Amino acid sequence: MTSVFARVGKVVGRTLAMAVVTLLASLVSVPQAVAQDAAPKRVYVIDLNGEFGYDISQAPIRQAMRDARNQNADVVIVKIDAKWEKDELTPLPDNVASFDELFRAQKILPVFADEMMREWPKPPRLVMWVKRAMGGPAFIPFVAPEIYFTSDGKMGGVGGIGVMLEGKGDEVVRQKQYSLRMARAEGFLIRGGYDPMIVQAMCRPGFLLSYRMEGGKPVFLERAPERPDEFALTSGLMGDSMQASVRGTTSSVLTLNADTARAISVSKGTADTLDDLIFQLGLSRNHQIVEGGSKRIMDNWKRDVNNASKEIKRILEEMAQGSEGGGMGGGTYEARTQSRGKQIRQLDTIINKLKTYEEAFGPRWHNVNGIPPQTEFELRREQLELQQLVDKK
Amino acid sequence: MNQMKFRMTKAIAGLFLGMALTFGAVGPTTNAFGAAAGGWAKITLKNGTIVEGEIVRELEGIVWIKVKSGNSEETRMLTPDEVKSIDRDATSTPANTKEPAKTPDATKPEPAKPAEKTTDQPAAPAGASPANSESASQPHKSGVPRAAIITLGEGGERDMVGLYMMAKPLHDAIPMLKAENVDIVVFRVNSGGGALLEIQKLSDVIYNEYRKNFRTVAWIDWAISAAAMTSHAVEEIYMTPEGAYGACTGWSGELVAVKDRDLEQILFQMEKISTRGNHPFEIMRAMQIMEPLSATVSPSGDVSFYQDTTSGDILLNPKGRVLTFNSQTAAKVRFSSGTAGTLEELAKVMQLPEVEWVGVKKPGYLWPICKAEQMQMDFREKTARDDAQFTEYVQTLNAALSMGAGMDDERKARLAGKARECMNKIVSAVNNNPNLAIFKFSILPDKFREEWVEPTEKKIKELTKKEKK
Repeated sequence: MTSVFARVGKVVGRTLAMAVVTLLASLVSVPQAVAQDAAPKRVYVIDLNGEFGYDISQAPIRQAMRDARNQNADVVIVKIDAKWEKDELTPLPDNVASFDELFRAQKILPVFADEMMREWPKPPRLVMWVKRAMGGPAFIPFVAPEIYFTSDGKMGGVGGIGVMLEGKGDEVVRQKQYSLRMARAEGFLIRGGYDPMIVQAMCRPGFLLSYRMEGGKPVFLERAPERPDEFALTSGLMGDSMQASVRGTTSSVLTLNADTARAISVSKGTADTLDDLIFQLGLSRNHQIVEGGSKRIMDNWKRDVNNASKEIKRILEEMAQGSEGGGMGGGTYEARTQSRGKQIRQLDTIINKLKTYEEAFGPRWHNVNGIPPQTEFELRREQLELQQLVDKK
Repeated sequence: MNQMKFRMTKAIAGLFLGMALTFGAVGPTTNAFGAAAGGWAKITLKNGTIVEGEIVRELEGIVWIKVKSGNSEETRMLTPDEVKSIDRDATSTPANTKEPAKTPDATKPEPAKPAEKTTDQPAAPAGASPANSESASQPHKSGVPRAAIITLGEGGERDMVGLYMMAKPLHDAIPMLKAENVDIVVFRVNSGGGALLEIQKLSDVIYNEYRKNFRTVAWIDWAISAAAMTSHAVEEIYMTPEGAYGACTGWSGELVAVKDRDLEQILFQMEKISTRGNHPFEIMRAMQIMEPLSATVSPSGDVSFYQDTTSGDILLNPKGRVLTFNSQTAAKVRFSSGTAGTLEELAKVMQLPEVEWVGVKKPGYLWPICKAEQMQMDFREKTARDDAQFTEYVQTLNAALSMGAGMDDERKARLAGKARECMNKIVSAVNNNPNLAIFKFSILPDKFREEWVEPTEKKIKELTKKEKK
């Protein structure tokens, strides 16, 4: 072999040498490319459970999404299982009208939309996995182009458009309020690539909607079914029977379950376990579940909010018990000064906690717990300072 | 069926700057970067309409022409796509025109005296006249148009028209935009509405000042009620995919509608503002009251609107409802010129192959923040702070004033100091946002000093007045 090579000319030799180098390079680079393609997709899971707007809130979700980004997640799965109950013993029926939780959802949605686009070098594949998305949470999955359901999954509870303001003010103003709300809800669907008629059916009792499949895609019809291949999504009635309410078969507004959602292409599939879902996402042979901090983040948030809530109530009780002595009346100047100082510190603690957890302490929380608005505490604080200003030894 | 039919050809306004630069002077403009403002002209549009009036500005193929509309004058912006030809014959100025123009266009001007042209010139800030504006919008070295985003409202708690979305800071921002050589101003609207009292002021600033100085565009995310009524002065409208525009019914208190004469006034006001934006008035009317609306889009792109549910192919507003557009319906009837979720998409639908977005990139913002935008953000920040603490300022002030009885001079002086501190905070808040005088004290801003500041100063002085012993 050596002699053969020795006989070839310089040019040929150089060409051959280059070819060998090229071949070697390609031999080296091919496995590299394959290795890159075969890199497992990093899957990050965020569980949203608990009370919507309180446990499920934008601050911890934002933190979890940032954690997912820092973990270089390729796929983010958001599982929604929000409470849907009047109290611990009384679940709510599907047709309860909680449309206005839309405005709470509106504060969470940007985390999965604009913020994600802005903060990720390459936005991840976002997948919503619905178990219970009733009330405000029903709007959240629509932000993602990929929605999956569990077999018992439900999405709805946002009726009320056209009826929620009945008996209040003038009809034209009520219609204005309904109109702007619907437009906002429709916008969320449009952004996610869904037909806005779906949300009309979910939100407006009496809105009659059916569909048929054409070329594998649903065609929505604002009327009752007229052919055997057309199916009703809503009854067109303004209300539901008690039997339907108890059995979970209400149809005055649309509640999506796994089958209906799949039929009208809202859901891409049904999965009861993470493995099922991973399989349906086409990642079963090529994924890695990222052990991120989302569970810790969500749990910490719930704990901190609960602690803050308890702390505020405890301070208020303490203040109510020891309120005497802080005014212009009894005790020495030093005692009064000390008392006011203590009250100001207590008020500062309350004000700080209200500010920190403002997003969870909405009007409903203030109402249920009998906590005055933050401005009242600020006023009280100012009054104490004034009293101190003019107090005399 | 209501026989009234409004026919309009919506200007698909995206086009000019980039197109003009790429293909040279588009259409009948004098030069690529315009400038030859002034002079009477007869403009023939591609749809056959003739618009006659005084050209007040030209920029990169776009012509601003002042025309008579009823008893008032308005300035229309015509894009190169709309314009077929411009007859700049000086002899056809109104003074010399003997034969009335034969035109079906409602905007046909009546002869106007030259003196009126001067006196009727809309109020503009110093240095903001069309002639002056040219210096700011000269071509840049790169020849790439410069665009700035100005937010009107920022959603959440900072979106109320009249409090966070106001004419004053918009007016004040114009010199900054000029200093940064901005050609295109994009108003990103995110407001759920607010006070009717601010609509006309905002409309005037947008129409008389912005549209005369910049290619002015509205990019709608959430323009509800007064925010939509404000944006209506803009002709070139784009929406975000989730955008909404409408629901303009006036109301107060417990959902009580504005009625009778007040309602008629608002309807009329919005007819005029619709003309400014070149939007068919039927659209805004269906957004204000429960009037049905349908539309048909012809194959050539003309849109006809009908004030009923059956005449048009597209039902926009059923009977007994109030209209709000989403991005799909707005685009379908050409109310919006396109849908864009990002700056890149916006540039695309605005047909700007190249554009320089003016400002500094900051974390957490989808667009660069120019100086004029920073000013809007600072204004809202201070307003929010003052709004949140206003009650505290007032109550502390009142408490300080009322606690003085029976106290010695030293303590009275302390109280007076506190009262003055609160008063100064209130005055500073009103200086930043004059409408706080209306919302907090029901006093007109120009009466604030006389009706609130002076009496309060007097009370503070009385508090410190030494009693005769």
